[in-house]
Amino acid sequence: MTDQKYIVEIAGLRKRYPGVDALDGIDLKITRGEIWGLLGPNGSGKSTLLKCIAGLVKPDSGQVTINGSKPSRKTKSAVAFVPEIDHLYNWMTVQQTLNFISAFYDDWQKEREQELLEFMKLDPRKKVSTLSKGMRARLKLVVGLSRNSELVLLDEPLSGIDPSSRDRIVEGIVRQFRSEKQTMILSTHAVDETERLYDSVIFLSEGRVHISGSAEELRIKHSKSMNELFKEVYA
Amino acid sequence: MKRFLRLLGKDLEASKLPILFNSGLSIVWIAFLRYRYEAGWSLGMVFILMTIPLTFLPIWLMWQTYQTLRTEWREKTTYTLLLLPIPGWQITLSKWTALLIEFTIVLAALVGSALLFFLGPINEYYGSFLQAVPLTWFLRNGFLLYLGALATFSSFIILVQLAFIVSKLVGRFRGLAALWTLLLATWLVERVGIILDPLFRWLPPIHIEQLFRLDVIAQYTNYTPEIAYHYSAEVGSWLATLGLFLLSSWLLENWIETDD
Amino acid sequence: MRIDFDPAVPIYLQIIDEIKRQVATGVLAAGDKLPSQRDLAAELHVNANTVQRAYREMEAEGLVETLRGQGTFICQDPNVVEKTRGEMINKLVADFIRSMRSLGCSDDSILALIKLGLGKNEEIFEKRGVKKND
Repeated sequence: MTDQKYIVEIAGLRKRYPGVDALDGIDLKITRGEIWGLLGPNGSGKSTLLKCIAGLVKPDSGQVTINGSKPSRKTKSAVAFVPEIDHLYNWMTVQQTLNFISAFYDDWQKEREQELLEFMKLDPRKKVSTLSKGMRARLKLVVGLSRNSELVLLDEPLSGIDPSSRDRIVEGIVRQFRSEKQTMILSTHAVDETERLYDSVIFLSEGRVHISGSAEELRIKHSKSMNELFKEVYA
Repeated sequence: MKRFLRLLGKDLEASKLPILFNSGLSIVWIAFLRYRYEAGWSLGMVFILMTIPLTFLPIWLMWQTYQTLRTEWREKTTYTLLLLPIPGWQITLSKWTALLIEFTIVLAALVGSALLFFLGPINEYYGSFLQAVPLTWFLRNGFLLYLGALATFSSFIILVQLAFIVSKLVGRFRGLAALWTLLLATWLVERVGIILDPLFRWLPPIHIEQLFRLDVIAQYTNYTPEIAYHYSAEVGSWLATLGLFLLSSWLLENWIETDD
Repeated sequence: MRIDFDPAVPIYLQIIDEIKRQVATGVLAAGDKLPSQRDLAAELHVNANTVQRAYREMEAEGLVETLRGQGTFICQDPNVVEKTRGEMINKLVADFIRSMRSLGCSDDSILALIKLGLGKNEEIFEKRGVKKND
C-alpha cells in the first residue's frame, strides 16, 4: 500500500563504485508537495542518489520506490530529471530540442514551455552547441519544468553558472513549482543561494544521511541558517 | 508511432554528414572510373573496380552501428535517451532502421551514378542483350538482391548493437567485452540455427531459378540452372538473432547505467 | 515587497514580521489585498509553501482573512491594525529591555540611558535639519 504522504521512499540504499561507497545505506522518505534540498559537498553521493531515483543508476542493494513503484518506464513518465552534465543534442536548435523531447511526454505544457523560454531569454533558433554554459543550464531547466511532472529532480542546477543565470534559475524554480501536485528535490553545494527555497533538507556525507528534516524547524532548533549548519557539518 | 518516428528522425539527422560524405565519395569514385575508362582502361576492369565501394559498405555499416551508439555515450545524450519513458526496443529499432536507410541511400547513390555515368558504354556493349531482356526483370532481381543484402546487414547490426551494450555493462576492458560478445553471439546464432534445423526441414525450398526468373536469360546460355535453396538452418539463426535483439533492448532499458 | 532575510531565523516568521511592520507603519491599511502566495514567493525567491505557512499563521492570529477565489486581505477591523501596532511596540520594548538586562544594566540605568539616547537623537535631528514630529 502506498503511503500518500510520501512520494519517494528509500530504504537501505547502497551503491558501490570501484574504490568508493557512493551510497552507504540511505533511508529517506520524501514528503509530497515540498521542495527538498539535497545538500553535501562534491562526492557525497548526491548525484548518485538522484540518478537512483531517476532510474539511471541501479542500486546494489536496498530499494527506491516512487508512488510505490520501483524506477521503471512507468515512473519515468512521472519524473523529470535535470542532470548536472549537458545531456542535450548539440546539433539541435533550442526549439528542435524542445520539440524532440516534448513528443515523448503526455503532460508537456506547450504554453509553459513558451513562457519559460521567454522568461529564460532563450532564442529558440539558436543551436545548443552555441549556447553559453549558463544558457544551457537555463534550457535544461525549461526541459525539466515544462511538464506537469509529479517529481522534479534537479542535480546541481547552479554549478558553474554566471550570477544572472543563477538568479533566473532560482526565480524560475520558484515560479513554476506547483506545491499542490509537485515535489522537487534539488541537489547543491551552493547552499546560501538556495537556502530560501527549501521546505526540507537532507545533509549527505560520504554516502550517508547526516541530518534531515524541515528547514524552518532546523533554523529554530539550531538558531542557524542552513548555510551555517552546512559549514558546521562539513568543517 | 509518433514517438518512434521522432527517434528515427533524430537518428537520421544525426547521421546526415556520414551519409552525405559516403554518397558523395561513391559518386566521385564512379565519375573517376568513367574518366579512366575514357583514358583507356578496359570496361571489365572498370566494372570490377566499381564494386570496391560495395565491399566497403558492410564494413562501414558495422562501424556506423558502433559509432551511433558510441556518440550517444560520448556526448552524454544517453541521459536524454534513457530518461525517455519508452521501451528499449524503440531505441534499438530506430537506430537499426536508420542504419538500413543510410545503407539504402549510399547504395542508391552508387548504383544510380554507375548507371548514369556508364549509360553510353553499357548501351554500346550490351545493347542487344538489354533489348531482349525486359527492364522489369532487372528491377525485380535488383530488388531481390537488395532485400537479401538488407536481411544480412540487419542481423550484423543487431549483433554489433548487442556487443556495444554488453560492453557498457562492464566497468573495464570494454573493447575486449565487445569483441568477445560479437564472436560469441555470432557463434550462438550459427549453433542455434544448426540445432533447430530439424524442426524446420518441412519448409519447402525456394527455387532460386524461379525466384530470379533465370529462364529469361536461358535463351542466351542455352542452360537453366536448378538451384533449390534449403533455409531450415537459417530460420533458427533468424530466431536467435531476434532473441538477441530483444536481449539488447531489454539490457538497454533495464540494466544500462549512465556514467560520467 | 523586499525583505533582507536573516537566514538563521525561520523565513515564514520574517515574512509575518514584514507584513506586520507594513501594517503598523500604515503601508498596508485595513482591507488591503496582499499579493498572491505565488507572486510573493517569486518576488522574495522563497518557496510558495513558506508564504502559505506565513499567511496561514496570520489568518490564525486574525490579522488577515482569505476570501475564496479573491485572495488574502488585511482584516477589515481597524482594531486589528491598532493591535498589531501595539504588539510590535510591546515586542520591541520587551526585546530591548531583555537585551539591556542581559548586558547587566539595572532598570534605573536603562531608563537613564533611554533619556540620554533620546537627547542624542534630538541633537542628531537638529544637526541634519530634520524637524522632530513627536
